Amino acid sequence: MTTTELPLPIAKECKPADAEELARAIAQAAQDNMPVYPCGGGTKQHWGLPPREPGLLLSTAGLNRVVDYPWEDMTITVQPGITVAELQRHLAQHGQHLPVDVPRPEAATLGGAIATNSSGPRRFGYGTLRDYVIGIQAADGQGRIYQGGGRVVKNVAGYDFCKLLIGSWGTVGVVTQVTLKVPPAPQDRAMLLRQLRSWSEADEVLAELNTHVVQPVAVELLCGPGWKEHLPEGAAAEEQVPVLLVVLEGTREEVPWCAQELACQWEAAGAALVPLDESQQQALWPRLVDFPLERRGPATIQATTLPSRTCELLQELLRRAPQSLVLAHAASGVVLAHLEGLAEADVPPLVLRHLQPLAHDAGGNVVLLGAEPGVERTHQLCWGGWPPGVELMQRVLDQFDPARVLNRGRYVV
Amino acid sequence: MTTTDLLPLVEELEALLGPENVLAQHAELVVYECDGYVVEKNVPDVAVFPRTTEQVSQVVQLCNRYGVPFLPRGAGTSLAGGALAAGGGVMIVLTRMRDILEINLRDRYAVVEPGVVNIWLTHALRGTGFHYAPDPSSQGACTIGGNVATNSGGPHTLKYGVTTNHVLALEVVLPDGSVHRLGSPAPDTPGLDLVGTLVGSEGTLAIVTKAWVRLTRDPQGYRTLLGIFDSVDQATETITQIIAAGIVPAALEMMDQGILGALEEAFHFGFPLDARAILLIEVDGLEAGLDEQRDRIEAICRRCGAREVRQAADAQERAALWKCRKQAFGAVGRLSPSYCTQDGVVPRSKLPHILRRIYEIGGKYRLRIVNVFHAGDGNIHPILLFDERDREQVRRVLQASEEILEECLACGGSVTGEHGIGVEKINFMHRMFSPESIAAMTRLRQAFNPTGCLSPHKMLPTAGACSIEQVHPGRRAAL
Repeated sequence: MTTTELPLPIAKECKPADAEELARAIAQAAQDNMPVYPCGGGTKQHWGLPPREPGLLLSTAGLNRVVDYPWEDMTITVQPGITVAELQRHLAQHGQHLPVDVPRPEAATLGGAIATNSSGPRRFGYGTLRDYVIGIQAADGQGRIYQGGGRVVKNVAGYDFCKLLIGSWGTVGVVTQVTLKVPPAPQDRAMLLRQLRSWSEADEVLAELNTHVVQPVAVELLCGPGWKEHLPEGAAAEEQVPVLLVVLEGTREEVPWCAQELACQWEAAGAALVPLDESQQQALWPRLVDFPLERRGPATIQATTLPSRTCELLQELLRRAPQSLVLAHAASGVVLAHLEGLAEADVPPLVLRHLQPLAHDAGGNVVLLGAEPGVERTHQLCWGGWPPGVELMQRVLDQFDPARVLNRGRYVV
Repeated sequence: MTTTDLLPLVEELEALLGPENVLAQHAELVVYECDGYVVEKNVPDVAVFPRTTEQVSQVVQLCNRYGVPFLPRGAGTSLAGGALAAGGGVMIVLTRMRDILEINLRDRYAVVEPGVVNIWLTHALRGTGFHYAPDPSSQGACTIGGNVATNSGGPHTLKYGVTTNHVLALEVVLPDGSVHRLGSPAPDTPGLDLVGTLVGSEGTLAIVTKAWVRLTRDPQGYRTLLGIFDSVDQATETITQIIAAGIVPAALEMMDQGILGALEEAFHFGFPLDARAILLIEVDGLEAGLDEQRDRIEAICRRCGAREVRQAADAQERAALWKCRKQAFGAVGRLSPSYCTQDGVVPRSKLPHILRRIYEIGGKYRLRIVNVFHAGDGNIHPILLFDERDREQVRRVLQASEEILEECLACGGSVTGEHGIGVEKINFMHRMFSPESIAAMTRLRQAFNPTGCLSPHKMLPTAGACSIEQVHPGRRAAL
């Protein structure tokens, strides 16, 4: 994406070559009271509250080196501007991987993924970035560089700045270096597709999987006509009943055993299994990973809830926006939806009146990801209201970015 | 501040909690003078035993009104002085808040009060197919509140992660007495990850009064192996090779000859006493892949020179092995009157080097050092044996500890993998972090704990507090 295509009011641009230069640029912006918009691959700049004031576009593209990769220690230290795909290629050379599904990995950077706490289908099996970032360096809103964690897999010295920075949208600091722990990549993968007949069947099979000896790395529910081109004949996601996709990963011994075990059990119970061949699997997978960044319909939302209440939330969503294209990481309680077929004006009432109260009741929330310009991005619509602990978050930001230059006006606090 | 100055506070605390939940007599308080780190001691002025979040909040507000520092305490198993009342004041002992409030298997979480002992949750979950993964060796005594404060690890964290990977939400009392609920058992609460920030903050930012913890599916099966070696180098090389081969065991522990003798005397397990080192290696997961994993590990052990590789025959033998491992520190009592367990981390490929250096340092300071540790994580636990009545020995223990930790840093590691900074390692913070990073940590503390009255003199070299003079001047001056 060129800078002119970014949905940001850009007054100045800066592409630092090292952490010190990046920090100086922030310090200068703070002095000038100019907002700073940190940018990696620019894949998610259309998320969050729309920035209004012209500011400094701070690109991390010049910070894209692998600093150190002692693969036999299963750790890697990199700069934030490295794309996720490039990082994965380095790791693959030694049979390792970062098991976090970041949308559009060829463009998205690790720094951007950390800032937005990006995750995907396999979060059920592998967790999220907070489970892999073990060391971090960042420049705060005054251009002061600080570090947390280290380069070893176990470390409790000092406060855990890794956690504070993940998902902070760069507001407590722009990440300048990251150390990850990186596990061995699985030897094998399989996907099973099951046509569900009703929502009660969906609830039952999810509950069964929760205690099943076979533990998938992803348990997905797919609904909506938009899935048709990627699903084989016989899988009907358009009928207002979901299709279940289970992803299995592990050793060459485990995966075929798991696939066999599940398939036999499901078939014995009379379930409708839909075969998914290798090429269909390979075509479907990137679509699942990139799903949050597809631009369809007037708005894209992410709803979170307790896993046991995923179907309840999905049903409410589909009752009120039946054309929606939905991907749910059902075992994790995450629902992503492109609200196709809905008028722009109908987005806020759906989210605010129906979905957010339901999600809030389960301790979850509904946030807006992308949206057409006609959808007004209010704080409540974008972020689902003030999060618990908001005063504390503000006190933290008072310490790290008193002038609020970092992503001014875009984040939840 | 003298004891008489505190009388009005004690009276108010007694009125609030009932006299049976307040200790203010020196003789009764001596038991709270230290935790598992016995090198430094300081008796708190008062100890209180609240039963509810509301009471914790009220105690904190009273302390603020009197300008008296306060700190939380769980079971006092900290090995770094995390529960030492370094600034005197009021110790808020949370062991009477000990209910498991909810177990939700479908959504995979449990809600516990901070005084719940780690193993109680394991017991409550027995037979459900789920467990709480963090399993510190002290799990029979330590509390989950304390685990949250120190981000505790344990043998099985190699595969399953440490405490912070298993805490979903917290209810906390801030140093100003306000009560907050942070995070949620539902994923991805928008905003800063304050839960992740609080876990491992050693009670310096807030007092945890409730925790929502993740429950983990039990594995279908285990293979538990004992690799027996004639040299420490062979054992540490095996660890390096297992990790480099891309195998992540559930646990990978090492015990050297020194500790084996004590363990054998205590438990009569049948360890070969002439072995120089033993690796306790466990893989878990689906039966379908376990034998293959076991065979690969066994082959690596043999290639590295293991003289024997045994497998635990059944669940009973496995349980006996783990009992030995987890009670290893208890068995050390047979070796000497006092011991200091160190906690450092090195990159896993540096294990052979650090073990050699530990033995050299032991020789240099004429101290016996035995080792039992989380080898797979590179998390060493050299145990320095001494007699605390001999001040000259204490001095040598501290010097040797410092030299071992220096060596961990030189290897690119950390001075603490799971015990925390506490008071013990404050002097090392400047060695691990730049002045700017320490300043950032100080700012973070400022956001939560602006008066510094909560847990003064802990973790950060800059963390003084309140109006009270430091009762204990720090370990250098103390010795």
